[in-house]
Amino acid sequence: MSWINMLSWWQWLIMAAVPPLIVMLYFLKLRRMPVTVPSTYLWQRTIEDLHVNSIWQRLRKNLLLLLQLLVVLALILACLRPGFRGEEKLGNRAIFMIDNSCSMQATDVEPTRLAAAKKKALEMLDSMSGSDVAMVIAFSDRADVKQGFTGDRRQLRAAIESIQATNHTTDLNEALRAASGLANPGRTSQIDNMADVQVAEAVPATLYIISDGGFAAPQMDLGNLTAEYFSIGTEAPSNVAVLGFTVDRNVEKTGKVEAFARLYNFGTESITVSASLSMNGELIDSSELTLEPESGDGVTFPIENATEGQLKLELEADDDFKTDNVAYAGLDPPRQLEVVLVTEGNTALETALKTGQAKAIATVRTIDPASLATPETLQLAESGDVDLFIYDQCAPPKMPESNTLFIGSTPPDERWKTSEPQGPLFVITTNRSHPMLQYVDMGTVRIVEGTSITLPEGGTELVRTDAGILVGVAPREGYQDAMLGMALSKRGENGSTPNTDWPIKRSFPVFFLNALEYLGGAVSSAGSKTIKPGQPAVLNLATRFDEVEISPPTGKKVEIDRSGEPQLIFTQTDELGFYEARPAKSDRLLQLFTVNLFSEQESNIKSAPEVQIGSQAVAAQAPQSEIVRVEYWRWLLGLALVILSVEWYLYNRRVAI
Amino acid sequence: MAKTSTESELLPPQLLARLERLELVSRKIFRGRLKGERRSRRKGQSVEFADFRNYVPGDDLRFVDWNLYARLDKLFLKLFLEEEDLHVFFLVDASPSMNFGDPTKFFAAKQVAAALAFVGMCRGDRVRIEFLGTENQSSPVLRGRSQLWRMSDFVQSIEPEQVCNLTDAVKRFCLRNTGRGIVVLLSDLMDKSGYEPALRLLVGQQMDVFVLHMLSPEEMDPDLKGDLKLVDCEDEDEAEISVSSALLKKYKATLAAYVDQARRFCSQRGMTYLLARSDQGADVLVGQYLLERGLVR
Repeated sequence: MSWINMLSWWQWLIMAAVPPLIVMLYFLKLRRMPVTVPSTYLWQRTIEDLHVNSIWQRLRKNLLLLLQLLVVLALILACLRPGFRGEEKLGNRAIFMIDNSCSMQATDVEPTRLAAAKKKALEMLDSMSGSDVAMVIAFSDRADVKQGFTGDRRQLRAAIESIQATNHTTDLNEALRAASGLANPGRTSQIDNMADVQVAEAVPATLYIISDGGFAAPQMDLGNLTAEYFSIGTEAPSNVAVLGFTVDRNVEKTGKVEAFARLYNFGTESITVSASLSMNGELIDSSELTLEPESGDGVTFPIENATEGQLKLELEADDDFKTDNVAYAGLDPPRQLEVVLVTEGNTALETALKTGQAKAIATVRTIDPASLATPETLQLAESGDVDLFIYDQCAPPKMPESNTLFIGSTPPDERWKTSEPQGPLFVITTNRSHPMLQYVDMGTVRIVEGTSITLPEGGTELVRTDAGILVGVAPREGYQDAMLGMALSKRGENGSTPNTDWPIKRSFPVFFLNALEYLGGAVSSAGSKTIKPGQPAVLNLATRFDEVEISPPTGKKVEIDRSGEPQLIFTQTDELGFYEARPAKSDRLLQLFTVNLFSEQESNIKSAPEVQIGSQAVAAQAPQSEIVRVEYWRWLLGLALVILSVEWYLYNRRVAI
Repeated sequence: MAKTSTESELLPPQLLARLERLELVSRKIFRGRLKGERRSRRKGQSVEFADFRNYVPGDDLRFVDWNLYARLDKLFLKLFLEEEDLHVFFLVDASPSMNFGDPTKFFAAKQVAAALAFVGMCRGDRVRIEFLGTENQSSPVLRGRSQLWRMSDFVQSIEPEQVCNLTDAVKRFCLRNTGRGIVVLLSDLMDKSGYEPALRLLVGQQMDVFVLHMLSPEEMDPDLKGDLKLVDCEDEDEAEISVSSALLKKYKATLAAYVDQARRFCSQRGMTYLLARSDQGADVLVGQYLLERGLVR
């Protein structure tokens, strides 16, 4: 039996004054109303009968007083919070780190692991002594400080109760950084300066990690933190998971698609699962397979006559973790980009646009510069049907209603300006962060002659040479125009002579494939992009749509104003399922992407007996019941209530005269 | 305290008319002083034949039954029943405890005493009303209907007195009135020293004793609430009570036991015990209640 003092000294003083007050009030006897009667003879005889046993009567007379004192005694005892076991109280500073990653949704502990973790944290909170402070952090692949250090139990309790399950994976690093903020205050930025002092005093704290232990060992020194790990979950849960789900279009046979899933049984017993594949909500195939313990298997579904749609794979298995039994994949329409190449003839360029990957995403039509002024070409340029115009050493009379790429010529837009050709040029920098220059290395490219470009306002410099900007891209009313300030070959009387050795470099076809993808807004594979929950989705959408609507699986559309940015980053990807990007107020699907768990770490829900933090191994604490403090104050309050009821009953009965 | 709201007429005319037809019943035959309307144990000169007895010299020859002498040749004397008057005493408790109730027990007792006295007076009985107090106040002997107003004035002039002891008062009465007769005691019997000695004194006088136990409705069914300090109007004695249904139940049980005890005490000693509620009018009490219980006929 142990006690926890809940009151401060002045509160105790007030409490101590209550019993004497009751006794005092009792002695200040009730002022009775005098009533004259003919004779008290019979009344005295009546009372006498009740006074036969005087000791018992005296006791009965004081019964109300005794009961009142008992009530106060019970309340005082309740204030002392008597408890049993769990003698070791929490330290002065406690940090509750509660895992709310996807694996905490497992139901091997009733009702869920997260609920069990929260319950555990609340129990530990109850065993805190009055002067202790604590903070609450919920962690998955990110840390969410629910409550900073406080001694207010109510706030801490509310913070713990507010923790919701997420579909995120687990990473302890960020949570540890947040936790160690106060315990291990950093130095100033001058690490080598010996005279540097610590900016704040280190305050040791105890870290209570309440988790199933499904995370990689964080590389971090605990410093002043003392870690204690409370393992939630069982050591042999059953779980079967979809670890991968892709869909690929057969290039040779149009309309034929193959969906492939990788399944894994993390349980200790072999399990037979039924995998059902549905497309746009309709069941199209199903397969049954038996998975041995700790082993995986693949399952393939051939799909006929499918061009686009949403594929969902569901495992029907009675396991402890349902979230990873579903996988999503989107089948994008096999849309080809419409590209018009305006050239007098450029073998290198035409070859670069005819690579296998380029052919898969774009249809390239070549026209002669002489036909640029013809009504058909002008109409084509204004129709907007063409995704990309590539002008090789030529320029149209006016800018077309499409994205453009000018090679060795200046756009007919006065905002673009070029200098006189000069050379040779040496590439100084390439903007590798831009999608057009992804995997493109131009450091070794030699250039005989080129111009320096002055970009329109809002333009992005891509490649700079010693003379100035060589490649740049700039927005134009929802379109993107790119310009390469050098010709690939110079046309002379003796035919064409190369102007650069770039066409023979590996980066050349890569650049044009990037250009097709970026300027054309194409996607290269049949299956749509999939990301993990909570990760940002990077969407390359045609820039002519200023406002894009994204429909997450929850159904609530999110409108995004992309304001001319070539890339759109969408971060609200917490839910598993399909996400559709559409232009605002339009039904045209721009891009489909899916969010899938696909995490071996999360699906392996076996509770870890110990966790590794830095170089330190932290074993799980002994079973829960040992640390749990059995509190009696609720019983005492209940007892006080019962006594009060008895007292009220007696008072109304007036058995004591 | 004293409820004088019902200072109604002591004996209303219609009640008097009813009372005229009644007479007091005594279970004993007593010797009177004057010739009255009641049969006496003594043989006398009434018209009602009683018995024969042998002639002894000196007897009044007027009472010899000459017809019998002719037949049997023996002298027999004819005896006739003597009709005498009856002594009727009404003892009214005039202690302050009687001055309670609505109407007060005292008023009710006075009314009953006056009504019964009138009945006696009409029958030619010798009636005396005596109020028991520190000094007993006694009416003159009343006889005949004509004394009604005298009796009425006397009765109305009496108010409850200071505290007195019932036994002492009865003793004073007994010392003054040695003759036999009917005694009607009207009292609430709330004497802390006990009513028994007083009744024993009356029994000792060999009188025909009627005890009319007067209780007010407030005593029989108290309407009290809350925490009270009951003060005795006679000796200022206090009793602190917290009224509860249990307590009231207990009180009623005590009262019932008290009444029962008094009734048993009386019946064991040949007295007639009658319980009367003060809120019952004299017409009901005398004309109905006492008639049913045989005090009047």
